[in-house]
Amino acid sequence: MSADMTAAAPAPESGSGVIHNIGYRRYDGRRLGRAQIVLALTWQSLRAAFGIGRGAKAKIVPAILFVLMCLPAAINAVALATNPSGGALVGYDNYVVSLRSLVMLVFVAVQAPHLVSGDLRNHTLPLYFARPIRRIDYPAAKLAAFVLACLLMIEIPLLILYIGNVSQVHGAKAVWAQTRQLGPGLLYGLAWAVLLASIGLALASTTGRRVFATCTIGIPLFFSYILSHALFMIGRQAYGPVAPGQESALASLSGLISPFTLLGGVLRWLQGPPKPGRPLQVSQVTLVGHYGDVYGLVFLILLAAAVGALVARYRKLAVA
Amino acid sequence: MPGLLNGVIVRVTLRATMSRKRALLFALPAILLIGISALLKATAHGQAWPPVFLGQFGFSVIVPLTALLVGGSVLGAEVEDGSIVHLLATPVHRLTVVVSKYVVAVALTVVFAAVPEYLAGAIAKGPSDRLTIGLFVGALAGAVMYNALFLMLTAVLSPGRALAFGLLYVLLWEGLLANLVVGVGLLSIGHYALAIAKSIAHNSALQPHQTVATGIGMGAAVTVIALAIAVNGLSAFSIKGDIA
Repeated sequence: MSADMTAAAPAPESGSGVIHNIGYRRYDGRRLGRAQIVLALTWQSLRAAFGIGRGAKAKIVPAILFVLMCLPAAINAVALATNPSGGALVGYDNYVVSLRSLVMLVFVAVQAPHLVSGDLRNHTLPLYFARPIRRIDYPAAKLAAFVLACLLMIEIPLLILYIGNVSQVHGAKAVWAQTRQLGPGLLYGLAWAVLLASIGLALASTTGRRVFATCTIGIPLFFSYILSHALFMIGRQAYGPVAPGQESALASLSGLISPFTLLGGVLRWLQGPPKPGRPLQVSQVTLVGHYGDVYGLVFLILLAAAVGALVARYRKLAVA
Repeated sequence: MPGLLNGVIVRVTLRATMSRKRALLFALPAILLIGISALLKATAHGQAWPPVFLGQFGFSVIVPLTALLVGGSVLGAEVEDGSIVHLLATPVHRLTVVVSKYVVAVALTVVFAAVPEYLAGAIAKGPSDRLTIGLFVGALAGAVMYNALFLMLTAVLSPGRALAFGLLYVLLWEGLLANLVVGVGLLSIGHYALAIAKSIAHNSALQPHQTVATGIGMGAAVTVIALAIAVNGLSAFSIKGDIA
């Protein structure tokens, strides 16, 4: 794709329907093409996701969230260093899931609007679309940037955790064992980043006012998260296990309500049925019972719906 | 001292808050709360769930989020689109502005959070059960306290930041810390409301982190202080940047 675009690029002002002179100043240099525009847009959006290039105040929330997210990994490293015989406190795939859910919730709700609201509010989109990019490029660049931003938030703590663990084990075999655990953890983090970033941007792009965008994202995510937990508790208390080790349908399906518990269910589904003799930490994970496939399916549907909504939003948007 | 309630401001605020599609958004949590209560009532065994669902979910989500949406927009919407300038330019005392908007916010929160809480309780336990009444009164108290807090935030901070901080507060402080750390419960509006609800309901499944006296006292203090700060913030309100 990119090679094709760069080749097509150096053909400015040749009746290609591209407006270059938007009335600011003359420019006679080489025109970069679609690929570069998308790249620049992605890079600028990635910076915007962390408040870089804006005032100090814009950096406060992402910085606090990032530190919060790294805290368990740091504590784990310190604990291992002072007491090497104790096992690792934090796992790779289920990295303190309640903290991760909350931090990512706030991050997506507060930062996603920074990527899209300004352009909607200030009607700067015509300026983008006057350039040789297609309608899909804008949401694609924003999505790529925000997925990358979420990845940074999720994966860097995992890498810190890995470094902390590896520095305390001895022998190549132990290091390899850690690396083998890290890999799935990183991939699972990618599932988080992709799902949350698409949902966040799809919701953020519905309004040009950042205040309402933050609410539009934060409130449903928080609402569904607590609702899912409450129903899970009720499912366990009021209905009881259907059979030994087999929770009721409500407890097993309540995780579908919220993206965060949905992701927990996806992990449980990918890990397969729990081995006998190794009890689940019920407070930490979604129980899926026999419905693991449903979790995988809903994950894909939700992801497709969010990406589709985002793309459709910018396809239908009247640029005027 | 001018009249505390200004009918025009009340009317304008009410219309601005309710005339948009957002009003449907306010109703959605309430409908969910009632719907799920009805569903659970029809299917669940035992009577353990109403205090869990209505107490935990209702008090830590429905009431604060509705108050955040309403309390954050009665003043915040006007600050954001800049039309607050026209209101502040009129010779109306800032206290009157704050109290008028506050009354609207509390009334709307009662309609969209406390009444649904009562209806859900009535479905679960019957309309005159202690728990139902207790939850309703607790939700009323929550509406009074939360709205004061969120109104203060919008008067002091920029609209976006006020909402973000309000959401953060509900999420981290009320949702997470207050339920984990007992000390935080002493400074949590949700637990004040829960204490008030429990004093009427006498239900051991409601677990506030302080006594009802503390709840009422601290809650009243928080409300009054927050409103005072809001009046003060609105008096010192300066218009800067690109608001126009």
